[in-house]
Amino acid sequence: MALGPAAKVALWFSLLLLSAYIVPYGFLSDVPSMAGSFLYWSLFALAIILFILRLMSSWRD
Amino acid sequence: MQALWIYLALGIYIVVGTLLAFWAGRGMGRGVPEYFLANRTLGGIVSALTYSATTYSAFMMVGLAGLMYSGGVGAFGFEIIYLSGLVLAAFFGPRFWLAGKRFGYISPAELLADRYDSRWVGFVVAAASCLFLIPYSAVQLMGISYLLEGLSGGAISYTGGLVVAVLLALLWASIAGLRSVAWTDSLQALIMILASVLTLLVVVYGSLGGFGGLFSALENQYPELLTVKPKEGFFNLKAFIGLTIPWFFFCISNPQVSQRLFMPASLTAMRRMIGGFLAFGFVYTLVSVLWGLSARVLFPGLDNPDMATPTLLASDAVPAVLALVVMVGITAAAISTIDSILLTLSSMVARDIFRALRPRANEESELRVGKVVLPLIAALAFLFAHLKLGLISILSVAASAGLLVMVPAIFGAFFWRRGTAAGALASIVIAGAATTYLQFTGLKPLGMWPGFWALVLSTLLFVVVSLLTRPPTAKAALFLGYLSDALKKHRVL
Repeated sequence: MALGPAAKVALWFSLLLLSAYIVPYGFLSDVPSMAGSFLYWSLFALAIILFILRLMSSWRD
Repeated sequence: MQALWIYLALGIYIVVGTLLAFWAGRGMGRGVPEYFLANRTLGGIVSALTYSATTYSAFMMVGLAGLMYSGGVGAFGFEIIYLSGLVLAAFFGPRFWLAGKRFGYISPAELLADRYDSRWVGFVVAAASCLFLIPYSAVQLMGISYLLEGLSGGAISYTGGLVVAVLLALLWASIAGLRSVAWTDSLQALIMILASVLTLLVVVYGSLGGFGGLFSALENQYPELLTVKPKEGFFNLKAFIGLTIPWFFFCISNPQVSQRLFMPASLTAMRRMIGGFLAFGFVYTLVSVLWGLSARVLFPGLDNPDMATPTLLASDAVPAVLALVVMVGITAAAISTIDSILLTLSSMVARDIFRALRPRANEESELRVGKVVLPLIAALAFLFAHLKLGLISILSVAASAGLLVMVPAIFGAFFWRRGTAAGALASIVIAGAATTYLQFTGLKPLGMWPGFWALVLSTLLFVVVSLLTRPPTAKAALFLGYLSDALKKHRVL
């Protein structure tokens, strides 16, 4: 079954959001460095910001 | 810190803010949309700044810094999940905005009341918002008063600080309604961000040898602060999930924030509002958490992590002038949140409670009620903060999970024709009561936090009760039919 554009956006966003839980708690829980969870959540925030800006880019007045 | 300098700094802040508030009100028109929504004409930059200042309270530089100080990097993740919730503003924002313009909505409660064709939905949403947000405002007032009392060495009394804060919030909300709130918010947002960034740089480069020095000190001395573990520590996974669920939905569950989705002049202004907020939020979050980590390295032995910021400000690491600016910045963060809450709640009491009880009341009497209720709500917040009741802080903590129960009804309004007023009412009242009970008792069924249960229970109740009751078919068709066409026209997903 083909996904509509809204469903695709929701799916990608959900995967990205899940990673903000899985990566720090699953893969970085033994990395006591600023280059661990701190860096991951910083990059996650930047990815989310780009995602949201892209989502809004089609809007027309 | 000498009280005289504190008086001077606060004096400048109050005078400049008040002049700006009067300037904002020049040429102000009449009527309810003008007073509460600036007649839906806010530009993108002012929208972004008022959105930022309203969202971020004194919690960031005090509470979040303290959480980072004691609980470590999980506090950062928790706040970043909040930021990611802005995808909901990008998704619901144009829908709120278009429906607001077409049907004349003033408050998010009114949108739900109209969509579900029941004034009681609006009544309950407005009442629940007051129940949680007045105590939340009181806690903000308490925060400022403690800060001023502590920094002045008691020269400014707790009650004195409280009186100044509540009068200021009231004044800036009253002078020109949303226009004075939005413009003073903009000034305050700039103070918040500039003061915090500048002071962080001074602390890190002046006392810690730069960011490299801060990071290596943390990695060597406090490695446990840099990781989160599923079953250990303050930010174990269940706690993290419990805390982040209400935070993720904050931008649509909190009416003082979601009401801002009605205000931009155009979709371009809304895009700037959301984009600007994302930039502001990312920087402010980074600064607040790095601030907490710096305090941990410089002052490791504090018993109360909420003292991390006051201790840092009172230390030699921060020059006195900067400490004053940060003090004003933290006060600004609280005031800008409180005056927006005051205005939003008074608009909801006037439109969604007063007009639910008196459907034939005209717009003039509604506005009069709003203006009378504004000081009453401020007085209640003052009273709660003055009494320092334990109940108030519990209700304030319960606010984020308590307001979460409105989320299914909001989703349903835009995406589910079958949603009904009874479903909305049941989900808000029953799940709201259950969530508050969990907060009061500290119970965590299956180990999960109240925020988790708030979402599960309210969703179940909304769906099941809606399926058992008759939907407002004509209203749903009108509302969703209009939106479907308008969204296509404006190329919104």
